[in-house]
Amino acid sequence: MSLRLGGGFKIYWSTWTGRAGLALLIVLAIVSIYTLTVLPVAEISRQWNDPQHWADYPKSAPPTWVNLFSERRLLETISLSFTGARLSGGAKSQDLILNYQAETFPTYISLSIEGLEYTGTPPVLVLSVVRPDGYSVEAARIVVPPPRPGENPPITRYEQAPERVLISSSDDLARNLAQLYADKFDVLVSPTRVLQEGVQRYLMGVPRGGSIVPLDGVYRFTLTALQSSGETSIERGRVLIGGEAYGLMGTDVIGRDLAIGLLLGFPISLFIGVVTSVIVTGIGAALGLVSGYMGGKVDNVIQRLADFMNNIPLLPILIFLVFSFGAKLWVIILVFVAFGWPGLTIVTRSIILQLRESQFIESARAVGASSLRILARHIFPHIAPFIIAQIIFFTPSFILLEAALSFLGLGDPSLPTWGQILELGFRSAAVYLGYWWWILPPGLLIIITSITFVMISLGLEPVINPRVRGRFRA
Amino acid sequence: MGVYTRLALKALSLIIVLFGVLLFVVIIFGATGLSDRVLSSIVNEEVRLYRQSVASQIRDPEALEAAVTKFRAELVRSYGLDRPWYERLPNMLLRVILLDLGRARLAQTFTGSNVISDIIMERLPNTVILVSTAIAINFLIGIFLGVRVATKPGSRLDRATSFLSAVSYAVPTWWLGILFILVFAFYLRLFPYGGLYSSPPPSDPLMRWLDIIWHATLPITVLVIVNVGLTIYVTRTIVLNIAQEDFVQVARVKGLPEGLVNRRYVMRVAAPPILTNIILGLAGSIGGAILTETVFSWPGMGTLFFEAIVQSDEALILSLVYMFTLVYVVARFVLEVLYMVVDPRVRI
Repeated sequence: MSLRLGGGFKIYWSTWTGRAGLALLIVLAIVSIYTLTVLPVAEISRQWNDPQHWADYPKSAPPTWVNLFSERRLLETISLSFTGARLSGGAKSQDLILNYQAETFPTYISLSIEGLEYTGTPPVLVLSVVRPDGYSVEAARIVVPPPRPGENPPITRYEQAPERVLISSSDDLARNLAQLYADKFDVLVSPTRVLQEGVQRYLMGVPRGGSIVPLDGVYRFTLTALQSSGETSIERGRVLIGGEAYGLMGTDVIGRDLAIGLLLGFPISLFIGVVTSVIVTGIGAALGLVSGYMGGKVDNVIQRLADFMNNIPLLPILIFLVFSFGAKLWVIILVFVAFGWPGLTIVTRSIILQLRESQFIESARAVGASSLRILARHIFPHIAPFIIAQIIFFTPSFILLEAALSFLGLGDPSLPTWGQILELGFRSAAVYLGYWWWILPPGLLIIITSITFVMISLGLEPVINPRVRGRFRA
Repeated sequence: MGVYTRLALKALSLIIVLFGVLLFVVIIFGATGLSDRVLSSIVNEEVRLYRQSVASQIRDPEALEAAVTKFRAELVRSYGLDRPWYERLPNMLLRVILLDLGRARLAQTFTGSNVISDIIMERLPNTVILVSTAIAINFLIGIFLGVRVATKPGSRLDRATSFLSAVSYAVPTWWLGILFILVFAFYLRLFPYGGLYSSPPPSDPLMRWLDIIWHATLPITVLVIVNVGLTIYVTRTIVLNIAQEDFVQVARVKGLPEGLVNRRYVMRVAAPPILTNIILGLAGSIGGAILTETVFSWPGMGTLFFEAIVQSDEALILSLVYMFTLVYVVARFVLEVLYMVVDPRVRI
């Protein structure tokens, strides 16, 4: 039974649950490794935790692929971005082209600039828009602050936090547009009304029959630096045309890209599940081993304690402990370990009690082997497959327990987990508003991860416990 | 050993469990400094009330201040705040047992009281109704289907149930609740989003009960779905093992009707281990209820727990840990008594 790995794997592979479980595990592992290695983790967790990153995104937007199924096309969020732009003295500029084809207006338009560097006089950045009908309007103006005393060129600005301008609520643009509509279309609107109805409607629309309809075609956004005597460069910038849908998985109520949170959840959830399970199984089995083999007082104490801990409602106590010691990852794992071992200790002990009386142990003892040697060389190999199976069997329960704690608001706030995504969703009433893209994916991922281990357990059962082999062959 | 001795021993061991949990929790509470915070907030509250009551009698502000300071010092001494936490452990333990932990930070009863014991006493019945109904339905369905499945071992139905029971283990109760709200409340509009009554609650008593049942349908369904797979599976295994015993075969060979064999020979023997299984699942059901109540805003102790965490209300959390353990211990005891009824061997 102990180390016939090849034969064991054959039996494992003959069950469909075993095959499916292993396949799922490989997928989970690949996604986790991809998240941790290929994607820069520091960068994505910043994208998740740093408000600067999602301030621009639409809030509570469904994923863009809903357009494949819905009748009314939701406008996708369009990001027009550039990197390493050099703008010198008004002669050079950065152009961004938007080919707009939609029946609706954007929900907002914003401009953000990051890492600006200039020499000479401080520049004034101007974003102008040339509409498909050829009319042009100045959309935004950023006056870059002059050098502080003692600051030497090149001067850098907006390095830590990008400069954001919400074009769609700009007074200046509203005034410019009111002017444009009066001059070119003979439509008299007050700037206040433009602001109230949404500046972006007027910027990207034409008056037709008393209302404003979207104007399709190519829009040219041009960023220039005025009044600059030297060189101006911008590390990163973008114009965001806010839509009703965003990205692969949509966004949450504060505009975070859910795809990033879900992706980060993979390694964290696997880590919590596997690490806790390994420690719990190790401690539980070791205590069971000691308790069963030593007998006497040690056995009595361990079993009493295990019995006691097996007989208390776990969740209220876990909540209490995590609340008292603070919601940190290591606290959560420690608490799981402290309360997870008793079940296994009781089972391991009963196995050891049977083994202890078997003939090969008796003969080893007769030959004069020490207790330690018997435990290590004779008993441990016998229960090793069982212990490995227990590690896999326990893993989903810890994944689920962590998710439950996170859902109650006791997750480690520095790590995004699926449970926490659901907690925010629940607390911000996503359920009552029907934001399914926020509710379904994290829950399904928790289930899939747990089922992976359940299936592997089912597949391992006939390997570990030959008596049940027949059941799965039937 | 007589029945009563046995029951007394069970009760004693359960009381030890309750006391052990309490002791553990109170030690953690003291060692992390949370008990200082709870007691000081009780003291502050009493000092505030005292100041209000004496302000009309003592006009001189200095004398008032002196009286208040004196009163505070007395309180601090009487609550043991001037001593380290381990010295006032017995006192704290007594406070928890009597639920004398002051006022909740924000939580209130229906009538507006924020005394912790009032709040908990108001919420307790709601939790008990929800959990006990769910457990009862779970086992009615579980045993019925489990016995059904056991009559056809190895069949497609049998394998499907074993697989589904394994899968249901991987489904978080609370997420299933959220899913149900999304489907049955948001999209289909068949059931309410949560709560205990419609607002305003119907005045007619019968309608009131129907209203509660309507509100309880989704949470109970969720609790049953998540737990019933395991119950079916375990019942099936137990019944299957017993059905293969010789004495059952003999009964069949004697030509006894199948129904009688099942009732008298199989179920009579299977009942105690099945009940043991209910007892073992109890702790899990209570945990599941905390989450399910939260999801459905069912005004029980589980939802209160969630509120207490959100509001960082230490005293309320401590009281709830105690109450949940107490509920568990009492339920355990009821089941132990039931166990003696179904298992004649215990009564000898």
